[in-house]
Amino acid sequence: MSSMRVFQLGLRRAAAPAFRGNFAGRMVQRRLANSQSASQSSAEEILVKQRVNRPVSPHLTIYRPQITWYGSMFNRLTGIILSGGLYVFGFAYLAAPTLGWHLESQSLIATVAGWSAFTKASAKFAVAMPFFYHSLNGVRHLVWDMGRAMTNKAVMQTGWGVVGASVAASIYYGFFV
Amino acid sequence: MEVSSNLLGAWQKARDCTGGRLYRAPSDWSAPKDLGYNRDEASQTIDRRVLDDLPPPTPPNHLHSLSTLQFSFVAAMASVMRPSLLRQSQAAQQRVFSTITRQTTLRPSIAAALPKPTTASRVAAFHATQRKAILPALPQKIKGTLNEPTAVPDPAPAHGSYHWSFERVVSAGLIPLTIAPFAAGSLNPVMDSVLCALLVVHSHIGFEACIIDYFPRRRVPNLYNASMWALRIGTVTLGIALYSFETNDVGITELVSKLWSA
Repeated sequence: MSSMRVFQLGLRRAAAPAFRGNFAGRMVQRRLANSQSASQSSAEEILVKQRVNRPVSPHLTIYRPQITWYGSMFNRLTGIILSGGLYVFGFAYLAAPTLGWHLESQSLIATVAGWSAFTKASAKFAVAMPFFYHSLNGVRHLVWDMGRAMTNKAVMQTGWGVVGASVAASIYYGFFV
Repeated sequence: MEVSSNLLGAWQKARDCTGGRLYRAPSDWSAPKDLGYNRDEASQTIDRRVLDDLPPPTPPNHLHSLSTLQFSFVAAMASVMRPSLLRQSQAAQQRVFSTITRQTTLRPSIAAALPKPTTASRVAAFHATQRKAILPALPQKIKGTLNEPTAVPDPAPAHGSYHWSFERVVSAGLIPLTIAPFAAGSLNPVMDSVLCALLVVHSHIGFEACIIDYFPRRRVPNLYNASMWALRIGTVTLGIALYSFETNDVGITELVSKLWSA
């Protein structure tokens, strides 16, 4: 394009901006995509596969540890530990005659009696801690179910209260009883 | 006039320097591989299409809305500041094609050797928080089509308020049965059996809640059903085991008490 032609073009546009001033005609946006037709079912499959690649919402690690949700988490964890222990004991007790194990109370007591004082205390503390936490926190839940102590402040206070009480009880029953 | 010819010259010069391959589609332009889409092949095609079809760059928009007098004034000024305008026009020329990114001048061999961005990194680039795959994403299948409303379960008190109350009664019933052995040292066999029964029910409800929360039926129906059945079988087995222990042995509270003082 000669510079003369460019000049003419420029003049023409400058003279009649209302008609030629709109750039939409020349500045067509191009979306450079390659497409390919897909059947309804295969499109669904592609969509399902693609959805798995979507970002997962932020997980627990991005939140500040707070007694409100940490307490709730430990309530479930301790519940699983206690109930899981009960289930495992039940299964083992039923399987014991077949497998030749001795899980009658006398053998269990005799086994524990053979442990060192430190082992006994540690084992007691390890059992007492989830037991007391889950029991006391369960009471807290029942109080909430009655619609009481539902403010943020009360939830935090009772949360720490349960932690303190279960630690104290576990130390007492672990090491002094 | 000067502005326009400078722009045109810059564009032509740039095109000649790069052997006609000035613009191309972004190399990380996202298209899932599942579509059978060949990125390199497609971008080659796009290169040619872009260069053939796109008009030569035009002066920025504001110059066109000037009157003739103003235009000549701008043009006169432009001739004075030609070297700096050349640089500006090059920048403007990049802005003109705002939907197309400029090709990084990599030789094809080097470009091929570089690792291609994965889907995860492309997705992550749009998010401020770090992507942490603690667990893999569960299947994202939708029953029916996207436009169907979520099925609302029939309101049944047995699955709602009665169930809720039952859970609370069981939990509350555990409180005296838990405190009594601490006070009395142990429980009589009947109360001990009641404690065992309540523990079984309470545990079953607790595990059931975990399964419902972590293995959603909508996402992983098979895992949900399998774990529910495993739980039912396990609970019945536990019931048999505790019945056997209660009838043949000393009972739970007595066992714990003796183990504690062993």
